[in-house]
Amino acid sequence: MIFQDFLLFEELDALTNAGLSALFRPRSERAGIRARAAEHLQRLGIQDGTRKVASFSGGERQRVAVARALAANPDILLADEPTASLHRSAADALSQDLVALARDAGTSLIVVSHDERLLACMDEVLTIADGRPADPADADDTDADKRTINHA
Amino acid sequence: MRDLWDGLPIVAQEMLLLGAWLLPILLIGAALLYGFAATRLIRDMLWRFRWANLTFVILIAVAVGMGSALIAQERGLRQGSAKAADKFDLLVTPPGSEMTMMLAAVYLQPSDVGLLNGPTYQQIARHERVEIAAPLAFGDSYQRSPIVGTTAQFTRHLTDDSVEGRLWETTYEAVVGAAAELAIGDTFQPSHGVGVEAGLEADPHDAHFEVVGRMPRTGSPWDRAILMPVEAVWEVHGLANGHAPERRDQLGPPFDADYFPGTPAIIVKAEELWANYALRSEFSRNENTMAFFPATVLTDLYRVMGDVRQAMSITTLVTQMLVAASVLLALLILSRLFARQMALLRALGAPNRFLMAVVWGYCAVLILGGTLLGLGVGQGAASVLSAVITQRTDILVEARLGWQEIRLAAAFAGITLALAMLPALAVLRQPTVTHLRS
Repeated sequence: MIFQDFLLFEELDALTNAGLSALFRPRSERAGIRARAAEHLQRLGIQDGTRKVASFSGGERQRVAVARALAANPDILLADEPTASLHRSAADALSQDLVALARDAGTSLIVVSHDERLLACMDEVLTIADGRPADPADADDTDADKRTINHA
Repeated sequence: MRDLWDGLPIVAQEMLLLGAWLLPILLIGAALLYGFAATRLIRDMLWRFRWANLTFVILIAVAVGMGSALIAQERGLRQGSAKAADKFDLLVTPPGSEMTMMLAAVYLQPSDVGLLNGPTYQQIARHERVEIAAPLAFGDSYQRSPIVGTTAQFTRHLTDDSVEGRLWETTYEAVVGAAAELAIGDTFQPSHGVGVEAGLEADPHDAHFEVVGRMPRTGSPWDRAILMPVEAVWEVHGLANGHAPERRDQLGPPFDADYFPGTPAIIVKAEELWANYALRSEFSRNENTMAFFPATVLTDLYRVMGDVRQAMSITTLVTQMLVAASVLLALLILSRLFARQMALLRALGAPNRFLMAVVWGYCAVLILGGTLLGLGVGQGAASVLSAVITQRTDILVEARLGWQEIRLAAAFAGITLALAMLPALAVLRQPTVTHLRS
């Protein structure tokens, strides 16, 4: 999971935060989780994994949170407003990286967001209005062909 | 089984009892922490809430420290007072309160007491089993030092014959205790009265004494005393000096009953230990005298103190438990501060046991840290209290933490850490989604 406000352990370094699930997973899985955490941090541009996240900017923190989510090798990755706390350029960069990393990892990415630019990176978009799936015909976005409504 | 236990050395018994208190903690810790790497998160929580954590640790340390210091102090006082009475095998005094007479003769506390006459002294001194029969004479002082008139024979017994310099050879020579403010070669004029009585308006006797010897430290009020021939004390008060005029320069026994002014106490040492009992029985039958072992009076006193000690131990444990309950309550409240982190861990798939391990481990560090620090605080407080009591009473009190205090601290830690399961379980009841949204 990825949260709007990152939810990191402030006094821990980036690598430990990213490999958080190694703390409670079986010993046999720990090395793999830490290796993936380090790799994702590198790909997300966090060069120094030994720094405490308390010293990181908002964009960097969210990158650590993304690395943490992917290090656990999940089948599905849920992201709740991952770019909402970031300024525009950081949000754009994160959107690109998030989608690319999820794709490379073969992980399904489900994002809840108001960020149109992030939504533009998604394969499918479901619009929720007043708690209900909205009719795609109501959408005024030019990229309406991507807006599909899946009814179970 | 009982024989097996009794056959074990004391240290082994104490270690086993300590282990019995600590074993549940180890088992809980092992059951919760095994297979996890929870220490990083515990360190994070400790550092993040460091000031609140420090407050808890200090609170626990003060509770544990105060309890252990009081118990160690009581034991130190008991051992110190017993050691101070070591050289006083049997006391013969006029009938009255054994406690008052013991305080006067052994601990040199000023008190108004009656006197034993010459024939009584002679009867005791001439007894075939008596090795030492030392009359005492109190009532004078020099500065803060009480003056005690006695015999050279008893002074040798009191100091194991290790006086620096020499014992008195003439009437106006004195030997000072290790803590007296006089050096060998100094001269002084004793004053009438002791303590407050002697105060600023001291009434010096018209006699000068020279210090010729210094006693080694005995750890008793005799360290501050100035010892001189009992004849000298009688003489400066204008009394006969215990000897007939033709032998007026003689010092020490035998004394002449007709010229014996009286003594409030006679310290008796028998040739054999068993003989002390016979002497006590013999001199207690007489309606003019009372014979008792200071050690027995102390034992009675300690018996009363023992009950107090037991009550003190229970009070201490209850106080510590109350502190622990307060701390655990505070930890329950504090655990809400890291409720989001716990919710995150659950969202990431952490098992319940891991969450409990983190919270319990966090509590364990605070409680064990506070307990260990408390033992240090207890030792420090006991040392300070001992120094104050020693300074005020001249009874050497050396309070050190013993097995009893360590066991008490282990009991506190054991029970509190078992109770620490409560905040650990409370974390599991916290709603994950609510906290993730908050």
